[in-house]
Parts: sequence; structure tokens; C-alpha cells
Amino acid sequence: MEIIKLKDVNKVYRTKEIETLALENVNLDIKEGEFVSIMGPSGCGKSTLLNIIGLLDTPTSGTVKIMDKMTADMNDSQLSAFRNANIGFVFQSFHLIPSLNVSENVALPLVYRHGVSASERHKLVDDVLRRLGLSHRMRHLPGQLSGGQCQRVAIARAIVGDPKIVLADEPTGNLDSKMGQEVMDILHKLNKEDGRTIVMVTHNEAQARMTDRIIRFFDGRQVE
Amino acid sequence: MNYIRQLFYDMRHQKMMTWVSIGGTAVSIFLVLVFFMYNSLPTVEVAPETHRQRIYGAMKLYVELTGEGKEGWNASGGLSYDAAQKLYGDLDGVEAISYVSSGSGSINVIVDGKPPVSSIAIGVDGNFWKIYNFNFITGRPFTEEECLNTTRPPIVLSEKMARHLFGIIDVVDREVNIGGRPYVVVGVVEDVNPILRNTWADVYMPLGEEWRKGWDNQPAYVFLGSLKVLLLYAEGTDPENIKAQVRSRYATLNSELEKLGGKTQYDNSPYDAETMGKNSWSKSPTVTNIAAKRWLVYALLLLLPAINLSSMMRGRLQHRISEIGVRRAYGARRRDIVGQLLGENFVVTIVGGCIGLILSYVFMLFFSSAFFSMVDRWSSLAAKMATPTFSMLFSWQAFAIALGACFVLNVLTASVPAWRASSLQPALAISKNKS
Repeated sequence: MEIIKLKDVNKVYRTKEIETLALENVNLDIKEGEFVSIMGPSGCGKSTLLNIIGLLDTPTSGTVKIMDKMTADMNDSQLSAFRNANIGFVFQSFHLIPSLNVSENVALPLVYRHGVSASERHKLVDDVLRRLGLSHRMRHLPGQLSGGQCQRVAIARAIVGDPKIVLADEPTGNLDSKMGQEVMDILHKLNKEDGRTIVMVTHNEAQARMTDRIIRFFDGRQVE
Repeated sequence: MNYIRQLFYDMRHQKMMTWVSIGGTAVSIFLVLVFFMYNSLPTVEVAPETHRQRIYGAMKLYVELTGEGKEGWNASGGLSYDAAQKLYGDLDGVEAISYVSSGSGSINVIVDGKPPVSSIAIGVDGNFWKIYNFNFITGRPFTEEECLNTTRPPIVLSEKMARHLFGIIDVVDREVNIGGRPYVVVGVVEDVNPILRNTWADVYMPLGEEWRKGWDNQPAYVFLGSLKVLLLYAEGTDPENIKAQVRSRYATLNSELEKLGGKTQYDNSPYDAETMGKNSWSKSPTVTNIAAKRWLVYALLLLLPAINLSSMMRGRLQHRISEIGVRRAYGARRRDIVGQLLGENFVVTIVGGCIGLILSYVFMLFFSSAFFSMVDRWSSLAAKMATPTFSMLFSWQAFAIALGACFVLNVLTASVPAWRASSLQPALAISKNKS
């Protein structure tokens, strides 16, 4: 069953002077539980695609269906609630909030979820940090962590709300190979053990080959 | 709690902008509070003016001549005793009425052939002491009958003046000479703060016949004189009801004036304590809308800094755009973001507000004399010497005004930048800069 379905998706960025076609007629089906890599040269539209799948951006035309829901029909509050419940994000530069400690950063999605009590939130955060081997860093600020630890915190934040989909934008791009491998191992675990659907943008051919499927992009078009 | 910690983190990392924001807020709140305190001084209830909310006054009369060849002739001044009685005597709902000199004046007081001592004097009748709660250190007030005693009229001195003239305060029955006439001291009162314009004086002289006369340069000016009227309304009296009575008295006075070749017009008197403090001789008898002007000043005092502070807020938010994007990605709605940013900014505003509050008290307590001389062009010597006490300035209204002003300033400065920041597409916001 397709968990992500894009049909005839186009994305055009317009300024006063120029129009840039970031995505052109993208049709994409991703099945539930799949681990998909998106590859392509810089500027080919990979991140734009990930943003559209993650409902962080809207397509200029075409339809985006996530978990059988037509996202174009949703208003801002519905989109926020949908993202909160179903999608986790892992960014290349982690995007942890520097003023919050590890535990508070991880709790972020739960803060915006209705009906989660403080004690429940603490328990969920504790569980996910223990699973990712970060229990001893709970009170640390992001500035006190290594890059690999930061990315593990970001992954913990992405999955603490138990989303079905995890979107990772070059998750190992800022890490050395050893730490990068650690992060990839975690993502594979999340896919195999939890059955989460993972869509990952990467430049790393070796990492991409370890996923279920590779989708290649060039100049906004899906080429493979 | 997280929001507060985030705010302090943000403040630490953007020290310059934070201090300018706090400073701007402090200045704005300072100005609002100084303006509020300055305007509330005429109504603050401090001994001996403890019933200010119930004390109303009429200070002047306007007369226009109507006879042939007199077109354009008019005069404005205090009231004669006769006019004051006709217009304000025996009104329903008035507990007590007092006739006093329309202003204070400088006189020379001589004791035992010593050099004259310059002092501020006001002329008051016997009822003056019933309207105001003076604390007599020694002696007693004079009566209405004693006021008209022309041989050895009574006088009341302030504590400071008694000490200055005699070196002691127990000076009842001692004699002073003013303008070649002997006066006998019947009482000494506690000094009155010069901010209390109706009661501050060094010397309280009896309102003798010479104060009560009308002008004699034109027949129609006979109702003009040198008195003002102070009315203590009974509890629960509707001021409009009193005004209606006075309006009708004006009509009667006008029919008398008509025979003398003049006319007057009702000037909306009696005025409350605040309006009395604002009125001046130079203005026409119509009462300006003081409240509307005041709200305009409040609005300007808040709006002008708000424009600058709003730009500062926008600058501060630039550093947090990607954080806002991440929050949006993880489920924050626009209103969550706006709420967070408004809340954070409110803390900054409250910090600035507290500083402004403290500054305003310090200013009013220690530098107000210079301020009053500067802003109050029509003030008497009293206003120039006035220094309010802490008890005059301390009121819950001042705190409410400060808090309200902080809230308004917060909404004015933060709502637009916060809404704009929250309206960015999350993808764009995340890519703006790195957390």
C-alpha cells in the first residue's frame, strides 16, 4: 500500500525577474515500510521534493497524497497536526534548538500534541533517548554534544511521536564516516524493527545502495 | 518554563538588541507614568485635601458688554462675593461652600519691627476650614464672623512661617503686621505640600470686605471680582445635577446683567479637581476635552516607541527564523508561534516596564520641580516649588497603567513581526539560517 503518492507535481519558484522550475511532473509512489533514497546533483530538487512530501512546502501544481489524505485540502492547523502525528524530520545540520537541552529538544513534537501529559512526555523522551544511547546526555545543551550525538538527538526527536514516516535530508552530510555509519545503522533499525517508512536524500552512493530503492533526479526531473 | 529559558538565552546572545529593546520600553513606560502621575496629582487625596473627589470649584466669570459702542468689550476674572453667592450659594447637594481668593499672592509680614518676611498668602473664609482637614498644631481656625473684623482680624500661619517669624510654633495671640494692619495669630497648621494648590500657603488671611468687592470700572463688571468658589458635594451627589442648577442661575444672572449692559455665558462650572488644575485665565470659558487629549498623548507615547521597538523585534527574530521553521515542522501552529513570541516579548516589556516604573518614581520624587516649571506655564510659584511625596504618587492605578501600557506596547511591537515570522513557509524558514 502506498503511504506517499505524488502525481504530476510541479514546483516553480518565481521572482520578479526569473522563474525556476524546481520539480517537473514528478510522479512518485512510496510503499509503507519502504526505505527510499533520493539522489542527484546539488540543486536538482531533492530537498524541494522532501519538503513537499513533508508538507513543509506546497507544490505549484499536482497532488500530494500522504497516508491516503489529500494534503491540498488541509488548512494550516490541520497540516500542523498531520505533520506532528505522522512525519518526523532529520536535517543535515540537525536544527536542534540551542537554548533547549537534549531532553527538551526531543520533547518538541510532544509539546505540540494535544492530550500528552507532562509525565507521559517524560516517559516517551526517556524511552527514546535510552534506545538511542543518549540517556546520560539528557541535560546537556546541543553545544556540548558531538555532531554524531546531535544527529542522534535529532533522530530521537523525529521518532519520539511515533510517526509512520521519517524524512531525512542528508542526515550524514555533516558527519565523519564512522558517525555517518552509526546514523545509517539507526535509520535502518527504525525501518526494519519499527516498520517506519524512510525517505532519505543523500549524495552517498554506498549508503543509497543499502536502501530498498533509489530515485534519481536531474534538473527537477525524476530520471530513474 | 522552556520559553523563559529560551528568552534569556536569546537575550544573552543578542545583548545589544535586548538592551535597546528594554531601554526603549523603559523610556516609553517612564514617559507614560510621568504623564499619568503628573495628571493624577490634582486629584490625589492627601491631607488637608482629603475630599478632592467631592470638591468642585468655580474660578471665573466671563462678561461681555452689550451696550452701544461697547462691541467687542469683554473681561474674564474671578468672581465678586455677590456673583459667587448668586451662582453657587445654597445649591442642593452641596455640603459646604467656601469663598477664597482666586489666587495666592506674595505679601510682606512684619513682626516686632523686624525686617519684613516675604510669604505666600491666600484669603479664605470661615468655611474653608470645614472643607479641608488641616492639622492645627496649636490654636484654631477663624470663623466667618471673625473674617469681617476690621480692627484686629485673625490669621493662621503655617508651621514653617511661624518658626520663621517667631522662632517657635506656639504663637497663638501673637501679633503680626501686614500692609500696615495688625493681625492676631489664632492658629498654626502643619505645612502643606505646595503640590496642593488650593490649600498651600504660608499665611491664611481672613477673607475681609476688600476681597469680596466687585470691579467698579464698568457697571456690568460688578460681578467680576477676586474670588473663587470651592464646593464640597454631599456623598452621592450627581455633578450634572449641580451643573443644571448653576446653568439656571446663570440665566437669572444674565437677566440682571442685561440691565447693566452686559451678558455672560455658562462655562460648564463647577469643575472637578482635575479640571480646576488645568483651567487658566487665558482660555475662553469653554472647557476643552481634557480626557481626549490625554488619551491622544498616551497613544503617542506608546505608538512612537512601538514603531522602533517593532523593528528591533523583527531584527531579533531574524536569528530565530530557522527555529520557528523547525517548530512548525514538528507541529506548531501559527498561533502557537505567535503566542510564544508575544509571551517572550512580554517578559522583555515587563523588565523594561519595571525599570521605567522605578525611573518614573525617582524622577517625580527628585526632579519634579524643574519638570513642573517646564511643562506648566500657568503654574503659580507653588507648582514650581512642588515636590510630590511618595504617598501622593503611589497608587494601584499607576501599577495598572504600567502593566496595561506594557501589554499594549507588547502587542504593538511584537504582534506584526511574530505573525510575519509564523507565516513563513516552514521549508523556507528552516533554510534561512542554522540553529
